[in-house]
Amino acid sequence: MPAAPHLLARRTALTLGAVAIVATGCDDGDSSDPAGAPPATPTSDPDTVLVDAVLADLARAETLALGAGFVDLAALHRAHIEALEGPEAEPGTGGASKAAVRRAEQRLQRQLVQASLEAESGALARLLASMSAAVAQRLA
Amino acid sequence: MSELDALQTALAGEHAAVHVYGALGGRTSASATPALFEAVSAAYTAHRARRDLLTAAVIDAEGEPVAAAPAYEVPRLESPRDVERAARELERSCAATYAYLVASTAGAPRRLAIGALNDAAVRELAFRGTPETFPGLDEYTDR
Repeated sequence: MPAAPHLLARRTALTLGAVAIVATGCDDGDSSDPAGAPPATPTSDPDTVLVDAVLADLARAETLALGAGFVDLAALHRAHIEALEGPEAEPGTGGASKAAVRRAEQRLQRQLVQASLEAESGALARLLASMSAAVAQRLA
Repeated sequence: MSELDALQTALAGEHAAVHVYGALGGRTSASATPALFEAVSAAYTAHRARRDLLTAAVIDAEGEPVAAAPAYEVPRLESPRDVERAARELERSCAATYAYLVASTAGAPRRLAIGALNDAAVRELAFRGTPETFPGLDEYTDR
């Protein structure tokens, strides 16, 4: 598989997004915020929190798929984790049944759809929606 | 691209999809290739429904829905394989269009776009498509 571009520097991009929001607020002449208000921190950015939650969901699905021997499915989740600049894979655990893996994938697909809906960044929403579609293809 | 522009682009795409699927249906035999005929018919119905949803979404966004073009280019269709390939490529194109719509919208229109992207990705499989890692995202091409 050709190398896929990362969502690139997730935290950097999200931080830049926060800066852009601050700049836009200035352009609009919004005076509701005190001049000395501290800038938004990456950890308070909603998309950063969202991505961390998605990564946890993906990691659980990857571990379950690996433990059940679904190597291709685990590889899909690994590609998605890498696109979000997530951590290295952990060993699979247990021997989940096919039905259990399917239920987990259905849950993950819904979680990805919901995350796409909630994402503030359009680029992140697009990526998450694509991931949900990839999981939907495996479930079809 | 504004939300309205993105909705109009997707609507134009669905006009084309409805037209092309009509042509594909006309070149598919219900008796000789019943599974393909059923898949093409189902896709035609699905795209008509999406077209209507997008028309409503454009109106909700206070736009004038873009009209269908007088004609669309239809690929050469000489065999069931040609029909499958045309349908597969059409669904991939729709998936890419809906992925951009996801990025350009929020709320209800984004929900519509996510559902349509998922549907296009799954429907592609009915036409000998293979599962992808990032459906609709050309820059992550793994086909």
